Amino acid sequence: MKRFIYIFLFVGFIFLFITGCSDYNEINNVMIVDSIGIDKNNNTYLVSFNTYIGNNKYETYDVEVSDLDTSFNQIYLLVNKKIYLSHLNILYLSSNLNNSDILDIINTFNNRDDLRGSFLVTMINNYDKDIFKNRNISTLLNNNYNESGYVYPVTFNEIISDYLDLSISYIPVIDNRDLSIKGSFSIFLEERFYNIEESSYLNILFNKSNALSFDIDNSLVKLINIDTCYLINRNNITINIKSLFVSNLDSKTIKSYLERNIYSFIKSNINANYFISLIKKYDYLYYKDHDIKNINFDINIMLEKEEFNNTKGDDLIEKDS
Amino acid sequence: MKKIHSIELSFLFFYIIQAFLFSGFISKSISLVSYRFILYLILSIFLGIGIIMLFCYLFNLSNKNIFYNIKNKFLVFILILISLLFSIYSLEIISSYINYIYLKDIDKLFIMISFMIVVFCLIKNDIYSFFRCSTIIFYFYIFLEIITFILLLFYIDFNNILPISLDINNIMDYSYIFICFLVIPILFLLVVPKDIIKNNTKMNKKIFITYLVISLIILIKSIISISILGYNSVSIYNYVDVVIYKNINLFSFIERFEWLLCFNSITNMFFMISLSLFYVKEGVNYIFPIKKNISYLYPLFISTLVILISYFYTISFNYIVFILVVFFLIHLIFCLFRLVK
Repeated sequence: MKRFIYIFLFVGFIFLFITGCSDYNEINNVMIVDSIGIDKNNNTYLVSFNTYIGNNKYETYDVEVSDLDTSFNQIYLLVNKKIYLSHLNILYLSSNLNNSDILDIINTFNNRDDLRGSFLVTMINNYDKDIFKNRNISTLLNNNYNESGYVYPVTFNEIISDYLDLSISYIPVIDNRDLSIKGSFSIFLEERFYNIEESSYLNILFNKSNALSFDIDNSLVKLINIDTCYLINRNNITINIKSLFVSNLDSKTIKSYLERNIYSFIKSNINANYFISLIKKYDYLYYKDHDIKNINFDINIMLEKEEFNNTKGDDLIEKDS
Repeated sequence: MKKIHSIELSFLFFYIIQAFLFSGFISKSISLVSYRFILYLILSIFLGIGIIMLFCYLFNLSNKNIFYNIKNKFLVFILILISLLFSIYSLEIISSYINYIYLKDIDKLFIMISFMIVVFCLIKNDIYSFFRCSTIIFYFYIFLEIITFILLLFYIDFNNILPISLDINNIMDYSYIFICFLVIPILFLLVVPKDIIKNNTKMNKKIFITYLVISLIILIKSIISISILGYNSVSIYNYVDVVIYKNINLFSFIERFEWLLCFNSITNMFFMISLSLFYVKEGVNYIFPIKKNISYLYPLFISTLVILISYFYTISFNYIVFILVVFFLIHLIFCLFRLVK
């Protein structure tokens, strides 16, 4: 009996210290953030939190801060709810932000423990709060990547990885007025806008392209299952691009068009850090002993026509007539 | 006399060697050696064989534990002090780890107290309960390891392991760090007397095989970590395993499992701290023998001391490497002394 009392007292004493329940939060006291938009006005950040409030409804809260870290505290004071970033889907960066602002933003978010790095990051031209009315931006980016290949929907983790490995990353750019994809924007080492065509070539060169649609003299060409391989010999890189294509044009025309354009794009002073990182990976000894300033490129494009079977469609047409 | 099976000793090896792998060791090492990490790891595995041979020699010296072999109370006191400092460092690491993953708003003191209560319950008993506990947990541990391995297979990109530098210039510069955290803690197992192990005749062979198997597992785990995140990303995160497990998102519903998968890292550290404090307890008992009915006093005092020092004082990484090297040297010198004698 005595032993039982001692055990009971001991366990009771432990419970005084097991304050794990203080970590518990009611769902109504938690602000589940779906998307965040950041703009800059003079020297202050305008941070907008788009949160889920239940019943398929969303609400946006804004704060104006000089230091990003305080934005999370400010929003807590505003809504009296604990911020929960674990379900963050997308981060919108205004085109008014410069490189140091973006680096500041990336650092702030990377220091958050509750964040998962799988949310998309995109730049918005003509940014305003109307962007939050559109719930399909991530679908827009993913569909574009799968069908047209203009941009690559980059996640936060990939941006961190690009920053550490390449010192440069490319984020998609969307115009807020018509929700059209404008291209890509490079951040960290350079601040350069790439239009749709250039952005497509970037994706092909960096083996981030799945499909690509473009016009040659008003004839539509679609490339699918694009695969880019590299052959590295010191500072000579051979880029082999294999793809299926759907078009009325022949493969020779498409191939010469692509080779010419991709080659001139490479020569237009694109940042070579990605290719230097390839040399570093696959020819480390050469990379260590040489200061790589010039890289010689050679491009080989192998195209194969995708044949579609249209017999089912013909049967339907005959039935109708 | 109760006996334990030799495989139960192997289970403890499992925990001890992997205790520090994801608790800052891998990120610290890659920030020091960069692309030579795999080379250093393989080298330290080979150098660790020497320490295993030392362990086997000291283990087979007699049927009693290391303190009865050393006999010199001053040396035993130094060993106890090193073990105490090591457990203080380990407790600080594991409490930060638990604070980061599970209990963000809780003060570390309460985490340390809760953790040490369990450690105290383990170390106040005899060595048999230690092995029993490690054996029971091992089955769940292995199940989690297999699940983790299968889930992470989907995220491996072997291009991230490149480049692998095979530059052997100054190769011995940082290899002692690898050995300190991966292999030297095995010497704490010398607190286990040989005569409690069943069929203890072929122990050397079993210990070697265990060590090689676990070294292979460590190599595979390190390669998986680097292949998922890349060298640069691994070097910036203190808790690499948490970052890797956060990436798991399969079929839109297998996600947010890091709270479960991190259990293994905590188990490793739990047995590491328990073993080092058991070492201290047995050492203090050797120097100042105490009656059995108040034998809980030493673990209670030691646990309280460890909590207080861990909470108020942080031992630096370089200092812990230094004391582990001293720990190894004491055993080495004693071994050489016995050989000469």
